[in-house]
Amino acid sequence: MEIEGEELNLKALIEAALFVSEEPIRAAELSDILPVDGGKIRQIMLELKEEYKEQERGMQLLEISGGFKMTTREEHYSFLEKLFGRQTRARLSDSAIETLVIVAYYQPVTRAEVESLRGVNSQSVINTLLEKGFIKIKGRRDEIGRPMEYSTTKKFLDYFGLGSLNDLPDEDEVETLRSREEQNE
Amino acid sequence: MELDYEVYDEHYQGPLEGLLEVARSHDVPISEIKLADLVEDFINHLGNSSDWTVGGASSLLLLFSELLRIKTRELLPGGEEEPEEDEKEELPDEKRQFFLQVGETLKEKAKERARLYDTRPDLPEFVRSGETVYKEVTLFELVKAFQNIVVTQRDQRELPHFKFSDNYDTEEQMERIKSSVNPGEPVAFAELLSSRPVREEIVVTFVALLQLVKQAELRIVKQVSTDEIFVITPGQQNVG
Repeated sequence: MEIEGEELNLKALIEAALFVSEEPIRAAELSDILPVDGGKIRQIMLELKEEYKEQERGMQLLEISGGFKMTTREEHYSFLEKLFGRQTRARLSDSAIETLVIVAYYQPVTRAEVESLRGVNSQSVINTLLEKGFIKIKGRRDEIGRPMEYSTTKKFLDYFGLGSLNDLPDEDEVETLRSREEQNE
Repeated sequence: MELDYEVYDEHYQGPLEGLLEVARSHDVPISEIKLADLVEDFINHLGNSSDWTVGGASSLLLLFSELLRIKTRELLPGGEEEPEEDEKEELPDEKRQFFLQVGETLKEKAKERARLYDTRPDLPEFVRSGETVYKEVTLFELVKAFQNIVVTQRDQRELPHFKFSDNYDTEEQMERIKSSVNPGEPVAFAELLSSRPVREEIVVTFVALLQLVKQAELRIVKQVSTDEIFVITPGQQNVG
């Protein structure tokens, strides 16, 4: 039963790490310091998530950007709000959201590309998003001027509660729109 | 500005400025004129004379580039029509609608997400066993720190104009910075910069520092407990 015991231990360890972490934890990060591979750790995380759900615990595990994060549950919101008030969160303007959507779909994307899609200067909104940590500089494109390329961050996914970029409305829908436009021309 | 430079070509002889005039009015066949030869003559001329000013030389560069533009346009198939400049690609309505829709969906999702509390919203920074721990500084923090130093310096000494002279050499400053930051001895960013008496020297020092960071010879970090910015060597331990 040694294996069984070890497994229990691991589960508790992983739970402790999830409790402490501010950011979603990926299985791969834990596999560096635990004597098991990432696949096994991920499986334990999923089990933990299921257990929380089945036992209707006060916490749940949210899958974000390929990792897991501990949060409270939706049904406890009004109670917790009375107790603690609302969580302070970054505010995003409509133009910031529009820019984020474009970065999310077209990443890695340059400022010029964002601007040609939006039709307006986007430098300051890009700076704001960088500062707030919703997008990051991914690198520089190998073309004239070596413009910077931007992509979205873990924080972006977390803020909108998205498991991954795949949770955005399907890119095929954008494709369909694009091809329809072409037909119209 | 008087350019006072004449060119000789089988289709045109005279002042270079005149060539631009006649090229624009199509009085000479610009596509027949070898601009490369003209530029070469010009460069030779530049090398032989000593009384050239940067202003004069750059005017000529501008002139050559305008000639080049006119010539390129003529060589392009389809003639010399000015390209439409206001062909700004408006976000097509349908695509825009889609992005707006996604934006609205995301706003809803953000609202839902906001109803789930995170375990530790104000997570403290972790420090192991009484060490001083450094953390990567963000660009914004660095720029702000730099601005603070420049503003403070301005208060102390009123410099009439911000003039960039050759008095301060980036290379020299890089050497100076490198010699003052040793392994295991972090130097405060503010100290490194504000010890410089003149504003332009502060700017050059900052540029030199950025260059060193780019070359991975130094790192700029902040101390976790105080948020103070330090310059350290790359090998420094306890950087989170």
